Amino acid sequence: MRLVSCHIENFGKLKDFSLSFEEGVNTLCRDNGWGKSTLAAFIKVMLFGFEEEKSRDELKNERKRYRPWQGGVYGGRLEFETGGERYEVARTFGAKEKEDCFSLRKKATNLESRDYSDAVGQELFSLDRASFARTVFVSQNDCGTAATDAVSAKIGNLAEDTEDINRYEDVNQKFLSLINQMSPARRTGSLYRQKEEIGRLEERIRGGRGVDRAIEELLGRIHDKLAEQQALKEEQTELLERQRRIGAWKDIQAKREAYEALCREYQEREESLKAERGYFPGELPDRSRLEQAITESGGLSGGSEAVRIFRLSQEEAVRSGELERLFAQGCPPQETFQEKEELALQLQDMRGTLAAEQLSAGEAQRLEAGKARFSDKVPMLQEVDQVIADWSSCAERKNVLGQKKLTYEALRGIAQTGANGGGRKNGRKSARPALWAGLLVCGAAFLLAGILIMAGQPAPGAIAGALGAVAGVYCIWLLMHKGGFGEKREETQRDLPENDSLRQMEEEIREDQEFIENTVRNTEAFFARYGIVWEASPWDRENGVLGSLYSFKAEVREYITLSERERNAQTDRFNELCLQASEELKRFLGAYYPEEDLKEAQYAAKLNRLKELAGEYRALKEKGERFRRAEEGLSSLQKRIRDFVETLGMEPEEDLAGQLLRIQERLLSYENSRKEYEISRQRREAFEASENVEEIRKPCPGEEDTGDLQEINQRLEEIADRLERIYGYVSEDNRQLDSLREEADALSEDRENLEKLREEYAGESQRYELLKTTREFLEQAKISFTSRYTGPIRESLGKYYEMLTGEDPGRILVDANLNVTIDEQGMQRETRFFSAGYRDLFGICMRMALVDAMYQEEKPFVIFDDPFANLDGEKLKGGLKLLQRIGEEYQVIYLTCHESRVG
Amino acid sequence: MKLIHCADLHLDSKMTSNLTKEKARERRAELLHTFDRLLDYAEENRVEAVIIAGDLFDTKNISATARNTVRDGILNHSDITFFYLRGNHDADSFLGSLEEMPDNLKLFGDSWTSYPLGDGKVIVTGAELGPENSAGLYNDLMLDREKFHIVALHGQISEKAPRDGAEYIDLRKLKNRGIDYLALGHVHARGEGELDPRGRYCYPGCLEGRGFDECGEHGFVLLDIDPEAGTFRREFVPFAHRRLYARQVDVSGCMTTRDIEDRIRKSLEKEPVSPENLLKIVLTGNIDVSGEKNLDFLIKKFDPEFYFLKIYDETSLEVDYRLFAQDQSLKGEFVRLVEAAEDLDSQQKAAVIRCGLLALAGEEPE
Repeated sequence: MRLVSCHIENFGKLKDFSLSFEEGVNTLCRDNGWGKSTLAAFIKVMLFGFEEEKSRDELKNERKRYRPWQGGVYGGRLEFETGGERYEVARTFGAKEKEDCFSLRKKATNLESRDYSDAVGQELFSLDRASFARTVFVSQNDCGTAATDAVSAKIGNLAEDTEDINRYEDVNQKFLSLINQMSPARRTGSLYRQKEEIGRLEERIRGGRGVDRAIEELLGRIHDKLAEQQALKEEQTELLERQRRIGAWKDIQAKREAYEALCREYQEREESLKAERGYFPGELPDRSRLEQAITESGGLSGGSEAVRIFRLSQEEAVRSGELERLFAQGCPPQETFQEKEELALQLQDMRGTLAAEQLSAGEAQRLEAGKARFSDKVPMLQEVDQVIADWSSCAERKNVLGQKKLTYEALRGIAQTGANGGGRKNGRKSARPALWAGLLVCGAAFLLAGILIMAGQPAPGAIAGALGAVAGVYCIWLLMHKGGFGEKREETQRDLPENDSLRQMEEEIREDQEFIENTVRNTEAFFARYGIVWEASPWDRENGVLGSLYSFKAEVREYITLSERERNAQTDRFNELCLQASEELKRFLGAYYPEEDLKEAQYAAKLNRLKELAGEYRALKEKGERFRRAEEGLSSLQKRIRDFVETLGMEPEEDLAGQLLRIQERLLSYENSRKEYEISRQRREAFEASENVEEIRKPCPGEEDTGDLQEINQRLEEIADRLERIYGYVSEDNRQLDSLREEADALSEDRENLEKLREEYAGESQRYELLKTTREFLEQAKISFTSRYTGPIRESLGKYYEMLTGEDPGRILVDANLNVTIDEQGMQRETRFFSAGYRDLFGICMRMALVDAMYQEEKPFVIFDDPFANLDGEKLKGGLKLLQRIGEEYQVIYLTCHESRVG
Repeated sequence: MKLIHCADLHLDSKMTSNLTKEKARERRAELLHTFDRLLDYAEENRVEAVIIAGDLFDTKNISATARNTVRDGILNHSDITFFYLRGNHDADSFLGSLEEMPDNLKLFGDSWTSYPLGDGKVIVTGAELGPENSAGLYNDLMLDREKFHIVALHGQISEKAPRDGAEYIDLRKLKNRGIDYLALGHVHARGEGELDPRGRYCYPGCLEGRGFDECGEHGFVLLDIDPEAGTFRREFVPFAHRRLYARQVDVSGCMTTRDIEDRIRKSLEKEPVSPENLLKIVLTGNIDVSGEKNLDFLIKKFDPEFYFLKIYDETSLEVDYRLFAQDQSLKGEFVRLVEAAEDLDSQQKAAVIRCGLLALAGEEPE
């Protein structure tokens, strides 16, 4: 393969630059800065594209680094020949890879060819960009080389299967990575972590060993408790059985005792009943009949008491005989005595009245005087009272009359004044003067009334008060009818009220005067008629008339009274009545006191005495009658009760009532006994019906094992208490056991986890070992594989080294990894320990040795970008000589900046 | 007269070795439910007694639920007599938790204890074996030959004491002692045989399989005894809620996961497993070292079809070294190097080769 020509449109500083290449060495000597390295980079980029595209460093990022300085189309063309065919690669570059354009044309036809893609460099040399740079592209200051996987593969010429060797480094890294990830020595290694986890689990399990022991101990304790519990339960069962047996025996014994008690009781009740029945010789008394007899017997004591009470004493008997004789003709009833007593009282009254109506001497004298004085006519008291009243009224009117007159005059004056003023002034003011006058009079009248009353003159005071009241009424009337202070009253009406009032007052005054005159006249006539002294002096008359009238009235009253008494004392009928009454009473009393000459004055006492005797007589008579009836009743009752007692076959006793009560008591007792007997019988029969009496009477099996029930019960209580405690202990232990079991479960889980983890660890360890072993074998294989082509490379390297230096190529050594060492003073030394010139020398030789090995058929072009800059003169000669020799076999593009390095 | 003979219920078994915590919890509940169902079955079928020949519980640490379920089951079925012979897994914790021993719960001790059943013509005798009494217990067994005798024991049939001192049953010493039915427990797989001309021994197996070592049918033995005739009929009643299956699938020659899936599918078509059951698939055979095999994919594929699925890879890798003899690549170099290694066995070599080839092929090394 060889380059034919190139044309640069714009690439870095190169612009519109064309260059043709010949076979052999093509030397391009230009000054520094001309763009030789840019040209070399252009050729590489045209074949492989840019590298370090993503770098921000513009030196590393070739797209940026070689952007045309002057602008324009970024790119160019490269014509090459391979396999006898010429192709032209044309590329233009944008800012990004996707903006790039690529075309490949066959020069013979100028048609686009698909023989190579845009990775034309890789396809031509079977090398990636890096490998290309390491071999056929020897740039300035980068003569060194290293065998990449691709280089190794290329060198191995294993074109049919180079994938594995290509991937070796990745595989190796993968193995290393996995081995590191799993490493048991690194903290991040999975085996290390598993081991740690195993240790932790083992530690936890070691720490938990006590749990199993604790569970064992606890189980043992529970077992012991349960054993004790079991033993106690057995004892409890046995004791309960004994308790049951004793209980059963005690039950039968109790039943037997109960039955015997029932029999005894029955017998006792039966005997008791018989004894009670023996009290009654005959039939048993009928309860109701007995109760009736007892009720009746209650009357015995009452009857006896009545007989005792009503029995007449000896004195009473004597007295009764005496009174019997007194009232032999019959004892008058009470009403007769009452009547006679009233008659006696009337008689006494009449006699008293007669005695009272008899006039004394003085009275007879005054009566006679009266008769003389009132011979013509006896004045009536009413008449005198009328005269007194008239006189009193007359005196009152006289007293008031003066005031009235004064008032009248005053009112009259006011009225006149008002009437005159009204004609001059506005009608609205017409009533005001009268009103003020009225109020003045009213006030004065009340003041006067007050003074008179205070002075002890009530009558004149009252009159003055009345006057005041009249004046007040007048004022009110004025206010109401005249408007007083009103404004609507008309002048036409203003004189009328004053005239009426004054006229009325005039009338009253006139009437008063007439009355006074008539009264004085009539009183004087009265005095004259009955010869009463009429005082000549009006003052005496005023003061004495009333006294004379009252004295006269008293005389008239006495005269009337005395006249009445005189008339009463002189009545015959009254005396006759007295006589009749006296005789009737005498006759009545005489029947009982025939031997006595009774006086009228004794009547009342006698009557009273007789009445007492009659009462005594009747009482004794009554008592005697009651005694008789009581005696009869008692006898009859006693007989009935005795008959009843006898029907019972008993002898009546003196105390019948007591006997009846005793009988009742015994009957009750008998009945109670009967009931008790029945109850007892029923209980016994019920017991016999419910229980097997025969069995009960038999001796009880196990009767001898009576035991001490109390002791058994006490023991049972102790056992129950102990069982309860054991239950509590076991419950607590079980709770603790549950807790320990949870721990044990956790431990068990830990153990399982540990086991799993150990298994996993074993598996992982095995895998780790496998990976390690595999990696070692792969490494050995790789070394073995590559060592097979290190010989030709070393040979080629020696050839070039000798060509370049003229030194013995035996010093140059190449290992399986294509690392070059130099035998220097008995030691293989890496090239990095040599000078820069030597390093470049070794690098160029190694590159060419690799190119020889890699391209055994079609040889590629080789670019030398001023690689001999570091060589001294001798070595430079060798280098240029080497260049000529390489040019014989390869197309060489040699770029240099100095003529001295041009061969 | 009907009796149930069951054993090795292992209630409260953790069962976390295979199952997730959630499923293990569910399975524990299912074990309890199976016990409950057994009681209901007994009630419905007028069973007079249930003989539990040991290992009613799996651990001495019994959960409250298990304890209460068993206690209430016994108390609620007061017409059924429960003969509970404690096994090596049982502890006193259950009995210790009982406030009062139910009347219908009969226990055994380390010496022979007998209980009559019905009118006394059937006798249930049992003893709890331990290192101390295993050897000398047999001579004390005296049975009335007129009656029907069931003898319950828990242990492994053996003619000599195991080294670990575990309980063992020497059938020779139980022959011709008048035993009609020897109700055994301890062995989780069902098994029976003739004890002597009169009697038979029987392991009912565990009531419910728990792990893949307990595959197959599980349940109890229903005895129908004629006390008068002294005869009985027995019937195994499958009763487990779920079954466990272990299926081996030879995947020799399979080069891809899909090939293996097809092979498994064919196996399941041939012998189907119901979805409610637990399945363990063991892949066997030889697979080429360059073959592709993804167990995660297979589990994802088949897991939804069963209550639980586990796939074990017991395949061997097969390397055809001839293929790499002339391979001038890194891969060929690698295989030849491994083949020549003397300190690795063939499977180790195969594993290393597989790991390396996978890595070189750009896949995750196994």
